Amino acid sequence: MAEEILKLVNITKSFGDHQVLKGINLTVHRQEVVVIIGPSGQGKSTLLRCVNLLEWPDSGEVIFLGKNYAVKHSWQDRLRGRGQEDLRYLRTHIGMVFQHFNLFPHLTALQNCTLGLEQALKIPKAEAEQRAKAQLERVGLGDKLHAYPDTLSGGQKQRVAIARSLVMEPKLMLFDEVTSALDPELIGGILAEMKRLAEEGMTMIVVTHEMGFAREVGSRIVFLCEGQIIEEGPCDQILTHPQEPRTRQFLSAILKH
Amino acid sequence: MTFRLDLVWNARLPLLHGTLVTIEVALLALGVALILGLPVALLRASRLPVFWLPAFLFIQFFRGTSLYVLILWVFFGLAIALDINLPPFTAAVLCLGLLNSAYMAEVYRTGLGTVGFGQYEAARALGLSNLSTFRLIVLPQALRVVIPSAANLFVDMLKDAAIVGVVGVWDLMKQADRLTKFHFRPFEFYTASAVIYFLLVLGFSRLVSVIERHYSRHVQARGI
Ligand SMILES: Nc1ncnc2c1ncn2[C@@H]1O[C@H](COP(=O)(O)OP(=O)(O)OP(=O)(O)O)[C@@H](O)[C@H]1O
Ligand SMILES: [Mg+2]
Repeated sequence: MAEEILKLVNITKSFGDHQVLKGINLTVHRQEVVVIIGPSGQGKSTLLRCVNLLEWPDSGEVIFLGKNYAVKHSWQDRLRGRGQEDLRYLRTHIGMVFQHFNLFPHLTALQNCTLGLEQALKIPKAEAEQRAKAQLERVGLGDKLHAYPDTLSGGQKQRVAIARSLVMEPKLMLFDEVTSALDPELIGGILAEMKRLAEEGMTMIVVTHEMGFAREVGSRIVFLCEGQIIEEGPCDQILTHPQEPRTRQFLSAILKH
Repeated sequence: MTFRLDLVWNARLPLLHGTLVTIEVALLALGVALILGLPVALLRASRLPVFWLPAFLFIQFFRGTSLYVLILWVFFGLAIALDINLPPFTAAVLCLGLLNSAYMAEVYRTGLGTVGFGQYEAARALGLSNLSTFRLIVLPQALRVVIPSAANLFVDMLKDAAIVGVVGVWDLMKQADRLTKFHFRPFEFYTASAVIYFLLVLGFSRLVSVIERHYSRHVQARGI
């Protein structure tokens, strides 16, 4: 088996007295595409956000490339900037793409892409621009380098957002319903982009309702419901012979559309 | 009754000097308000009462205080109560600045409120520190809202600065007062100062609308 990129051990997370994640265990190997499906409001986004510690789990381990990052540092270490340094390492090595793009509207496409390189990775401006330009060209936006986000279509915005993550050369990419806010005719292009990425060997965790994409690209489907992994397995098996009644119920509901 | 334009023309130097003092007071006070308003706004946005409560009280106090009262109190009251003797110009700048820092804090708060949660998320996900996120992502977007409002506030401050003469600052109004008393010609000199204020406000308002237009570019996508 390929190297373990990410291992989540017994992750729990509550908001107030509402427990959103109730002990999640998940391992992702190099070049795997793990597709997370499940009904709305069941903790899919929260789980993704725990991976790069945008959300801090209440308990459990977030092991990335063999090291647990979900540790509270002592205040002495925090004063020395240890926690910050670890967090920066984790986040610069994990890319994340959001449903609503979250592009920086005051920066051009190119500047959106160079920001992380220059600020978090301390790469000199000239090199950062060169890398950002190459990345934007690869997602088909070579002619939009100096465009501001609000002059771009939804599909183009999401490409910029993908380029912004990829330019950091992450070891793992997180996609959170990245096609949900797009017009139907633009969805295919973004899914194709993600498929190309998977074929190039990128390790990915993808939250999506696009079952066609899951079947074609996914290595594994994880069904998340009520804060727990109800069922997990190869895509064909989950999509055609789900074992759990709740999985069956969910799939029949979304496949009807 | 004739309008003695020649008297006004002969007094152009003191009037010009007074105008410059007025602009100076308003500009420096704007600086105080801009600098002081930001930390107050940030404290106000905290969830911890130790932070937001003082900021809240600060804002309420200065919003509820008259500039006239405050300036007299600082200049004469502090001198007697605490033996703090501020020069008139300093007292004027401080009072106008303090008062408007409360308004500025609210302006900053509105500006910061226009920056969506997703912007913080995206910046952190890229590995930016909290400080970089604030400096490079949040503040520049907030400033698009803040700068036009601050420019408007400055125009108000120019007009409000007309009272700083009460503590002895030689601003435009105090010069006009002196000239009026010297020549016994209130009509000429008060008209002259009214015209100067009008031109000042007109000029700066034009500047404000240029600034507003500049900062409303690319603003539609804010928060996305
Ligand atoms: N910051 C927060 N504060 C309080 N509650 C939250 C917070 N974030 C998420 N929740 C709650 O946690 C639950 C899970 O949210 P989450 O966004 O992870 O669901 P999801 O599976 O991604 O749903 P969707 O398909 O709608 O995106 C929801 O009930 C949500 O209201
Ligand atoms: Mg979600």
